[in-house]
Amino acid sequence: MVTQVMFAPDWFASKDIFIHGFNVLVLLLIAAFSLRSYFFKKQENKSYLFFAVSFILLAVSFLWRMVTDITVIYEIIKVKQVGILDVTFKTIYTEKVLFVAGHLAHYLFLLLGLYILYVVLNRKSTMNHLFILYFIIITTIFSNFSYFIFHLTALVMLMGIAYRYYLIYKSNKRKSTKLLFISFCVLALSQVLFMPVRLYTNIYIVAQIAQLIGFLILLIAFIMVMYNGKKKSRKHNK
Amino acid sequence: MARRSRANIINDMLDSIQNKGGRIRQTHLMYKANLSHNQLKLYLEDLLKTEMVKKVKNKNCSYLIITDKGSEFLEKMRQMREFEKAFGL
Repeated sequence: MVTQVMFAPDWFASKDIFIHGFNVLVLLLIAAFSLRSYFFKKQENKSYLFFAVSFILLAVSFLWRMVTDITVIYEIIKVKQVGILDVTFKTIYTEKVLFVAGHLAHYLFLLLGLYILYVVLNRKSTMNHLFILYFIIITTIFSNFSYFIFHLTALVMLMGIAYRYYLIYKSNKRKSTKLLFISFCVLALSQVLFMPVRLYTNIYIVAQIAQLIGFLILLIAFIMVMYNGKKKSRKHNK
Repeated sequence: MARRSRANIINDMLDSIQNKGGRIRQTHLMYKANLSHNQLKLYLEDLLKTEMVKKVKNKNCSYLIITDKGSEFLEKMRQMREFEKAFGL
């Protein structure tokens, strides 16, 4: 099976690994806090657990992508040593099942993570989970043939999550929730930018930077929440 | 009204002590934290065992004092509440 697995220009190929690494750190930080809170509260609030699971799945998705991309870059070095193909290839094509499996796992974990997050935020949802799960798997399989389908599905889910945060912000008026809303909007925008990546390779860089900004805003929102909690404690201690 | 969880009752007890300047009488704590006598006995035993609260005697009265461990618990609970509200959990 021949599948294009990398769309980045050559000079950017190793840089996006660091962006994914940053995303993993932010996601694991939030997942760890949520999981710790779940056990701290003696497992009374299941939302914490599902929230943690969704962020762990998202982190695993980016981690998987990192590992796959590192292997692809290793492949570039190998090709350069042979010395014939490196000059002509701008995107790398590989026949290795590992790369395809790696990217499929990245798609699957990311869509599952986003879906669980969407369900946690919309507790009153009556959607049939099995039905949705079926569509996530179908989307993952077809994403192998069309990169566009994956980004379109991720875009829809991210827009749903962003809209939910907009509603939460309207009722609680917290700056941190506003930042969460902006963060998911930027992440949704990055999915739009990823869509025409097959036509314009350079847009991949813009999309990756947009994704990085989205995760940076998410990190700022999390730090703000932690700081606000501490500030309230200090006020009470005085 | 929803039933308070164990963590929330402990939080309310420690919060009441902290709001009273870190020191409170046992009977005051019972009213401030909305507890029955039996509930107070049960949870207070727990707080004393886990060293989140200390008993001190001053002249004829005995007071309950919040310890550093108790303050840390409150800080964690406030961070969690903030997280819950901001992240919509």
